[in-house]
Amino acid sequence: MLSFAIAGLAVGALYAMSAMALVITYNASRVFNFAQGGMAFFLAYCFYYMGNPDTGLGLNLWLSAAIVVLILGPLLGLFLWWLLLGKLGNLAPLTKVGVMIGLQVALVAITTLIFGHDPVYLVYGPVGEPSVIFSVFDVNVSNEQFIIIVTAAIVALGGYYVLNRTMAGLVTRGSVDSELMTVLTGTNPKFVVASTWAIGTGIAGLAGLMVLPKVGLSPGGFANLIAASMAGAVIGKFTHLWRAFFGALILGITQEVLVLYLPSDGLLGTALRPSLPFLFMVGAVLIYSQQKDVKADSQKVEVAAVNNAYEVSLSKYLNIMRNPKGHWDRYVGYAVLVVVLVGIPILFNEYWTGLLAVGFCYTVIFLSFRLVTGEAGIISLSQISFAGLGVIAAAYVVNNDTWFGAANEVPILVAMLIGGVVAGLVGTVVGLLCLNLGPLYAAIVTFAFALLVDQAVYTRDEFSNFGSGLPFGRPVLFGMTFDTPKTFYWFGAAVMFAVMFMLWALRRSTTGLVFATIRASRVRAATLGFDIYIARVGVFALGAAVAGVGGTMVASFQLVAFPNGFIMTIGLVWFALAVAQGTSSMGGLAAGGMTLLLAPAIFSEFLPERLADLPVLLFGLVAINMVVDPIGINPNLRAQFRHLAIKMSGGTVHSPSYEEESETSVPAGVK
Amino acid sequence: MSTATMNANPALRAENVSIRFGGVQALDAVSISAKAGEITALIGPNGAGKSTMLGCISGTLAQNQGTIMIGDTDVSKSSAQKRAAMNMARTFQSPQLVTELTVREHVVLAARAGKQVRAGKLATTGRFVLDLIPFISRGISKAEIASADELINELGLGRDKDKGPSDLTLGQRRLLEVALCLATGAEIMLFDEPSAGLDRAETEHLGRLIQQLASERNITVVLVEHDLELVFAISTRVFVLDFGKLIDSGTPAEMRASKAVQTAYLGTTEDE
Repeated sequence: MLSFAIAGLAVGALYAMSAMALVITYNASRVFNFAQGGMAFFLAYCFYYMGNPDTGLGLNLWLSAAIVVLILGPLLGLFLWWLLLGKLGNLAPLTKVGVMIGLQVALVAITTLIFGHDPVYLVYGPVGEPSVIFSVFDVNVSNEQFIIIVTAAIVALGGYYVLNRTMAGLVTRGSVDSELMTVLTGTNPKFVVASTWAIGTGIAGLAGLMVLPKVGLSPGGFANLIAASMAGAVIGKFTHLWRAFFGALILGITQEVLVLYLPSDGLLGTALRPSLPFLFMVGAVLIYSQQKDVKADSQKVEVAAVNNAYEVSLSKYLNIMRNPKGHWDRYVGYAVLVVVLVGIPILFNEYWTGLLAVGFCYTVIFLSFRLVTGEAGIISLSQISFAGLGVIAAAYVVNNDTWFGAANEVPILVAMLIGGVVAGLVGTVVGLLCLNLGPLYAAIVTFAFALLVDQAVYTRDEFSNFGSGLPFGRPVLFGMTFDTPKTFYWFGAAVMFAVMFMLWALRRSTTGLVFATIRASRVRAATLGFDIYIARVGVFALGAAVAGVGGTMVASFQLVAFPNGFIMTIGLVWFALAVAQGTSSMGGLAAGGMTLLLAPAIFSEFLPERLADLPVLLFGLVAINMVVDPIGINPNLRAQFRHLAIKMSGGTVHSPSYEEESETSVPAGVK
Repeated sequence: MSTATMNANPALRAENVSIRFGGVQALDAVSISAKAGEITALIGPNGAGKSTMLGCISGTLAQNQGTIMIGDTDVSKSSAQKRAAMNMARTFQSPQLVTELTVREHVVLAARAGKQVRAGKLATTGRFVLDLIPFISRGISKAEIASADELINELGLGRDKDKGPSDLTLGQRRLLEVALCLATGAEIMLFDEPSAGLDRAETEHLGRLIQQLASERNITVVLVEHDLELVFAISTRVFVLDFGKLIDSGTPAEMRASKAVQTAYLGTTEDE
């Protein structure tokens, strides 16, 4: 028991350090660092390169660690703050999360582009080869465990002391509430925020180096560390250092001690430990949702989101789109769409037509972002998991002979619908658990849920078929079999347009008007009598169902239900691409779904294999571009096109009043 | 305190309402009441707690102590949605409008919300599954447009009905807030500084409209307002707050003459 507790203490200390980095940066900037995993991954690779005598510089491991933690980490934090993070403070929650996820995706892609994308499994941390240094009650403690625990304690005490007992800490906490007051104390608030990003990135790097011997060097390897540290941050309500520290510490200890009591196989044995970060978060959310201060704080975030860059950007867009002139441009768009749609199967071969057919399937999944984020304003990072769960459910039904008769007798179309229903039901449960509080809580809980599905569901042999995936088939409808890429192309297009038609109907309905109200002002929606919680859970479930159906379509084209194509790290790329294109824009989401398939295929035609991650880097960068373009690429292109049409029709476009006011409402002397 | 502090059969009653924000006692045992068909005004200098009181009445703020009654029903712990379902509507000092909706769409949405409330249903979006079906989902009908346009024209927003809130002036946005309230057809309406940003003619027009509402449709109106001319011209009863406390109440004429009110607004000189 004690040996497990000590091992747990070391694991918990790692989680706790990482959780503290999240809390420190959030405290100063009100930006939650979803890119911390990417930062730690990049810095860990730098450490590995510096210390590796064969492929790198061969420096001493302690020296390499010192350079990474004390110089490279803070420099990376400062650089990212200067480039990007310092511009996020006043943006809407969705924009912040979108940009940070984009940064995470871009950092991982940059790392693999620089250092190669082959995972390295055997890596030593700063301590080198582990060895026993002393025993406590006959339990051996390794040098690695000892160093981790001592380092975490130093970081925790130091962080607490600086934040709570020094002027610097007071200014850091004060700068969040009022930049102006910070200026009046003679401190530059930008310096405060930049410093915390430097320190936070250094600590994230430190945790990254220390976790290396456990997880190796692979993009997904840091996910556990990040999920556990996010659980700590949620327990600490994002701002309480000690609560976050001890929450993460207890999580780590529980995870290790449970090994003693759980069977080595079966659902409980394999699923419970990876589920702990999610369960801890959900527990915290359920408790906090009863507390007035957390509810009020999350409402404050919602209200702050009303008058932000997103609203200004949206106002400009709507101002152009509501102009009475130039509406003929949509017919040009429809004509081009029809020509392209019909032309593709005629002009392109089976490979490219098939690729576009899968693009339609991915577009269906991407359209679920329109429901969940574009309509209900919920930040969900688990749409990919709902797609994966849909795939598993559909394939399980088709391949299992206990529920619906003999194997392979359930029609594929029915299985697809079952996949959608199962995903929808799971979505209902996740929605009920995570939508009580503000958007950040929803983002983090769905992130943890995606990781839970990766580790506790996809790994089960009855679903993964020992890694090779369960066989799946093509649908049959009125005698049509859709068994070639060209016929499946039309099936995919039909389903995609059907979903688009549904979403169009939804937006113009009472529900659509209500969701627009909820996105802009939950207080207004409430005082009109709309029960926003039920509506949000409902649309979350529906989004999950649509993602589930989209997932089954992908499996249908590939003829195999392969859940590993729906893991959380890929889901982050999807999210980045969806928000960058504009989650309210069906055209943008279609472009996102298509780009996801076409960009890697086109790049692989013309670029060497070592640049395979270049499209992923671009997906991350377009999400980062939301800093200047919060409503997304597609709505902006659409507005430019309409602007041109207005001019061609002899009309003019005026600036919206919000913009004029915002230019004059900045107090003198405040920059 | 003057004669008519409490009405005999008030449609709305707030008793001993207290609320604290950190170290600030925003309201301290404030009691007010409002009767159907009358305009009850809540006045006081900046920071007196007027808008906070509206927040407590409408359910957007939860008071620490005190009771809110709509008719004979205690709604002290009810959500804002439930109070809206009891035919209460309100405007906000800082307009809570929807960038994505036009003026007309705002009014149609509010009318639909009111219709559901009157049908006895809390306006959940339970029918959202039906709204996904293109031929069943309800776009805005001609009748709804006509009804919305009538109200919009009445408030002088006719030329702006296809504009979004970002294209309106602050005064127009406040008028749109009023239009939302009216469109719900609520029986209790809470107006939070509706005349701010309006010129004198627009303010007088708004005043006449609110008066008509109260008298012709027997609506209970609670009006928070800085424009004392408007308040004294149209209200039946006035409650005066200062630093979170009720300092006086009575008819407009009584409040115009009240020493306490004058002191609250103008302060006292040293020799007093």
